[in-house]
Amino acid sequence: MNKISNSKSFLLRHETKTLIGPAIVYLGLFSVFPLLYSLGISFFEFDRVAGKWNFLGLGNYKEILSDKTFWSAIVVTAVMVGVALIVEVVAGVSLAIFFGQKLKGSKFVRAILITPMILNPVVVGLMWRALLNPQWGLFNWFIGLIGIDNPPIWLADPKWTLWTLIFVDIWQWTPFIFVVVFARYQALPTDVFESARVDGASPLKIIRYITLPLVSSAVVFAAIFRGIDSFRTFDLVYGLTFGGPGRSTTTLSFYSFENGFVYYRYGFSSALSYIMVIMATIGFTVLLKWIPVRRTH
Amino acid sequence: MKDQVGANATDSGVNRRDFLKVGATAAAVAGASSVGMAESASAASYNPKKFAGTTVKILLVDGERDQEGIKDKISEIQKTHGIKVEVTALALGAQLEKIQSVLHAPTSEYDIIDNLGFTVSGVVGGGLFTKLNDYIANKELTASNYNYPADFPAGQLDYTSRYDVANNKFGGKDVYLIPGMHSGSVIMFYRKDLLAAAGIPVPKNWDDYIDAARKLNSGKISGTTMIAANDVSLILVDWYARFASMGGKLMSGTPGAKNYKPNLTGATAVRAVQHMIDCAEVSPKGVGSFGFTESVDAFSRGDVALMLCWSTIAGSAFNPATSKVASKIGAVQIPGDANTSGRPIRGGWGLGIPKNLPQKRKDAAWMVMQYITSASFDKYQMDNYQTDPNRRGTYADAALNKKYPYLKVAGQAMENAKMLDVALIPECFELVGEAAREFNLAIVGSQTAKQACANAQASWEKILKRAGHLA
Repeated sequence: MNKISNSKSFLLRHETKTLIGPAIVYLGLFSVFPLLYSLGISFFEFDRVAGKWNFLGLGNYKEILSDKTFWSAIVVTAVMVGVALIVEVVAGVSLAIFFGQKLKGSKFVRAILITPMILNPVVVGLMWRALLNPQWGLFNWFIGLIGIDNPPIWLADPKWTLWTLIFVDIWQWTPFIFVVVFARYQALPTDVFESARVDGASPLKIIRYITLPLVSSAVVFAAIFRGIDSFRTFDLVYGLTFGGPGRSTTTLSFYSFENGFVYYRYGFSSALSYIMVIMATIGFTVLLKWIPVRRTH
Repeated sequence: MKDQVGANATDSGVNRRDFLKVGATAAAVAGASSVGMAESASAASYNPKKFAGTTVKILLVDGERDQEGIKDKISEIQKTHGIKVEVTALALGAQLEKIQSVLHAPTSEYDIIDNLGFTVSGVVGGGLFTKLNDYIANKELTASNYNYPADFPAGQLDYTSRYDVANNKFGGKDVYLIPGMHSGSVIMFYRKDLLAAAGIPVPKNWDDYIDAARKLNSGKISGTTMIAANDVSLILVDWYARFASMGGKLMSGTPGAKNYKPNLTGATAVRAVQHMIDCAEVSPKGVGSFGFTESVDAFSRGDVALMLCWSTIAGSAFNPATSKVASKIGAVQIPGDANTSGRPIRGGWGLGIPKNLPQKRKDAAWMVMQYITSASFDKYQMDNYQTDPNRRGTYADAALNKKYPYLKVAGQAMENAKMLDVALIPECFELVGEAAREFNLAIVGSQTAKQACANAQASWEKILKRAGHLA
């Protein structure tokens, strides 16, 4: 009896540690340790023949900053994140508002609409690779039906490949923005909209002055999630273009993967990943400061 | 006999008659000792059950049907050797990554690992595999009819078998790998019906090749196809076949002397790229995005007249179930040039036993490795899964040649094949990847052949300097 009360009082005395302990252990093992380990190896290069690590100091970072492929990958990543994110947010929010009208059959269409999101990006890449095949791809056949007889070679022409990649990314991830914003939209109180209608507000004014401000927190949340995801796009590039032609679709993540897992330049790849982490942290902190989010209760 | 063939294969190639003679002899040696290794071996002190009760784990690459034959034979190995075999096959990238971690672990998870030829300098050169000479010489552990090295193409032995670790060079006397699960080189596939209808002979040099491709190119049929995507196979299959056959020498100097310099701006390198650019004009639309699969599919659909490809695809190209033109195609050696014969790249794999294993596991691994690289298994795997064999006896086997008419062509290509020069440094893939990127841009029209070669040269020099192979 005494023992039980003693252990109870021990748990009560150490309640905080007991509750957050597992989380700290988990974070330490799976986040902090890998981060510190990869930071460490970013100052080394691995000699595969000798099987040992050679200390380079800031050598990998210096090489990255003077590497033209790194700068071209920054441009590719920035264009990809910028264009894809803007289109996905606009299209996702528009779809959320459209489907919020509770039209007949909308449940069925909504279910179809979110299908791309549940596919693995590598599979999406390979699937679109087949769809865009210049010989027998369904995509060219389809646009042939609407009068475009001599379409570009989507995956072999450097002028088009990045736009093709962005298009596929938009196709896959617009549903994500839609789902998040739609969920928020459905949860909004209906009396606000009814009052606006009674006061004679037009549908466009309701969207502009009521709907959008009320769903803005969900839009920002979804956009930041998608922005981070898009910033580290690798799998779609891997399946669709493998970074080419040339370096026209080599994103920072793909470049990091290529160096780490194709060329076994683990140190260089880690340094590149750290630069990405720094860029992402700065970028999204600034973004969060700039974007006004209206709190709704 | 082996040395004579080796000299021929390395210096001037082997003609068809020589190849068949050598192959027939090897086949006779292998055949005389019968298909079942254990039967003839029982006369010696070979004891296949010496390590009964153990488990041997094998790591292979997926997607090349290498594991199929082994899976079929697992119960037989259990019966004849008393050893349980487990096979893991991973996609190429994942397999290469796994090999790195397994070989550097305190104890290897796998007992037998299959290594791509282009990675041999990195893994075997790093001293990470067990030397096999003692096993091969040990009559108790090696069947008398194993027939190593006589039954293997000499060039292949110097690529995926023997390695001089002290001097970090291919070849030498020390055996670290046994060629397998499959070997392979590049041959030329052509449509017999189209060439005959147009009265065009099978191209024997590169000028004939592009002429034939242009003549055969029509609305429905493309003259040729290539692996022209941003893919290492652009270099390994299509560019190197042209470059080496035109008499090109890829590198000068040696890595050890720190004067290892590429010759990518030379006339031959530029000519080989230009030939690919010319071929792209008479290839299927979008050939610049064609990898291995797209190229082979286009040929098998009947859309293309000429194609260079790994000989290992011949099985599917000649199979009516997977090719619409199976009965209309032929396979020959790749074209040469005025003074040179076709010199395709040497491909293939080598099986080895990691050094970081306890002795007993190494011994058991050798017993299984011997089985899956035996003459009888090589024939079984070829006949059932049409992967390129490793042994001369299989290439020259009369019954198999009757069934698979391309086999002797593939065998001759194996004897003539040339190892990619840069395979002797661990940065091989990085170099090939950079060149593929530049040449791909030339093929899709973003730069000229000369610019592509100059850019590739600059990239290669940068990588070689960084790696310490060029001062």
